[in-house]
This record gives sequence, C-alpha cells and structure tokens, in this order.
Amino acid sequence: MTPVELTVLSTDETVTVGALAEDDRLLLEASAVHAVTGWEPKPEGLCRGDLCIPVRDPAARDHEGRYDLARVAAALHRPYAAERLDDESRAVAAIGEAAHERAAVYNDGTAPRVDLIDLDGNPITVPDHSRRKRLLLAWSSW
Amino acid sequence: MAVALDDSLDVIRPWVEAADPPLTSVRVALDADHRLAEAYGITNVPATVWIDEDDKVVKPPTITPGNNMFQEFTKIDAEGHHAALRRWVHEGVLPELPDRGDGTDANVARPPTAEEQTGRTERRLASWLHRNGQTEAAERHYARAVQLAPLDWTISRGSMPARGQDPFGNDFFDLYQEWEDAGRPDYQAVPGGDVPPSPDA
Repeated sequence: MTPVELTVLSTDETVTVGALAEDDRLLLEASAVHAVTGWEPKPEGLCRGDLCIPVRDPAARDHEGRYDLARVAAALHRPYAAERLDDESRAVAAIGEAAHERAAVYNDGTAPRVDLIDLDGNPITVPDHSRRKRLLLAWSSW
Repeated sequence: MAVALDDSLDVIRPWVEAADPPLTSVRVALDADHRLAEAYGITNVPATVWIDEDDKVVKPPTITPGNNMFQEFTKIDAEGHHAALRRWVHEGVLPELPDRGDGTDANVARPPTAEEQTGRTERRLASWLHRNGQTEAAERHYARAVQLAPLDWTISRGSMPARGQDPFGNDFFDLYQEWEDAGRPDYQAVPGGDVPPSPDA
C-alpha cells in the first residue's frame, strides 16, 4: 500500500485529499470520502442530510474500514475513472454524475452556476447574478 | 458570456484578440473541465443557451452559428436564430423548438445516457492528464470517452487537438460522416427565419 496525494475531479470542483493506493484500488478514510463526494459515510450508509444510500458491497471497505473510492462511486451510481501518475505518489480520479441526476437538473430548468476562470485566470461565476436576460455561448478553437 | 471548451487560456487568447468586431460587452471564460458544458447539456459548438431574468433556462442549447460561412455543413440559416433572439429580447416571445423525434422534451436539454455520462467523466480525467503532461494515460481515457460518446462533439472533436488529430481535416470529416449517418443528432435549428427583425434591434 502506497500513500498518494489524490486529486478528485467532481462535476463542480476539484479536491485533493490523502489516500492509499493498492494495485488499482484507491482507499480513503471516511472524512476524505465526504470531502470528495459530498456524501458522509455513516453506519447506515453514505448520507447527505436525511438521505442515506446503503453500501451493500462488502468489498467497499477494507479491514481497516477505509473506503474503496471506485466502489463508493458505484454505490452512488456515479461514473468513475482513475489513473495513477508516473511518479506513483500521485493519483487522479474523476467522479461524474448519474444520467438521471443530470436529467433532473435539466428538467428543473434553473440555470446552474458554474465556477470557471476568465481570460486573466481569475475566478468567474457563469452565469452572473445580474437578473437580466443572459445569453451563454459555448465556443471553441476546434 | 462566451465560454470556451478548450484546454488552456493560451489556446483561446488569439481568437479573442482577433475578434472583429472586438469583444467589448462579452465576457470570456474557459471551461477546460467541460463543467458548464455538462451542466447545460452542451454537445457541440457554437451553441447558445438563453437564461431569463428569473434564472430559468428558457432555451436549452441549440447550435447557433454566428453567420452562414459553414452553412453547407450546418444547414442552419443564422438569420433564423438571430431573429428569434431579437424577438425574445425585445418582446419576451420564445421560439417553438422543433421536436427531436426521440420523445424527449425539446424545451429542455436532451437527457444524457449512462454511457454519455461515463464518457464525460472519462474525458474530464483525460483532459486533466493531458494538461498535466501524462500524455499516454490521457490517450487511453480520451479513447474510452470517444467510444462511449462518439457523437458528443465536445468529446470527439474537442479532444482532437490533444490527441494529435486534426479537427479541421480528415479526422473531422470522418466524424462528420458518422454523425450525418446517425441522422445529425442534437442539431435542431431554432426557427425564426420568418420573423421580421424588431425595428429597434
């Protein structure tokens, strides 16, 4: 088992936590799971407010009680991808959003706010809070 | 707001500087992780989303070329959505969006499939790896992402520069053919061509 600095790219932010890597597995303490997923591990499952999702997969935790991040993502029905970096002391994982969660946001119709950077590299929230009509244009160099 | 689905500020800066007329009232942001693209269901560019005074998405992403330079490919007359946009801004009237023909509500972004969501997740990881010099690992995840969501152009075409492919050459034409054979998904034009522009627009 190797200690790694783990960067997790979620749908709305990027968080770095400590983890242990063993083969393809990334093992996290409960507090780190909470930090990277927003779901807090409790005896009844992964919880957010009053809602708890049970973790039925016995392999989701190791004998020390650490959580396997891939199996946590699976319990939350979220897509997951991960990679160890060349120097072995770092790893990166991406945890996406389930299709039905995404569809619910689209159906709700409220414009989500997303934190991006502007041309100077400064943080900018899109869309702004101007209470006017706004047009978002997605463009690219490609 | 003009949000670029590109890997770095250095890539987009020359485009912003070359804008004619200059971008004076438009703010530019970079979305290298495609977080905004996913939040609004954007699968190609140039796409626009309309948001009203109450923070409601009143028109989901649709393809809206700025002019008719590439109309041969887009088959979209820019005058149509420009007229529809003016009408919404001045009169508050929204266009009636054409049915997608797949049973989904044309007034909200098309719900993604599980494969597309996994593809977006793989692309987000791939792009991060690419930006952090992990080229080989990035390629594995880009390939997986494109396999999962081949007709999401923000994934398939958007990853071409990072993968050493040409987004304006044969790689593009192959993708274009595949997409055309699939019935040109996610490309419903905003109607409005028959709406005369508002006199004060």
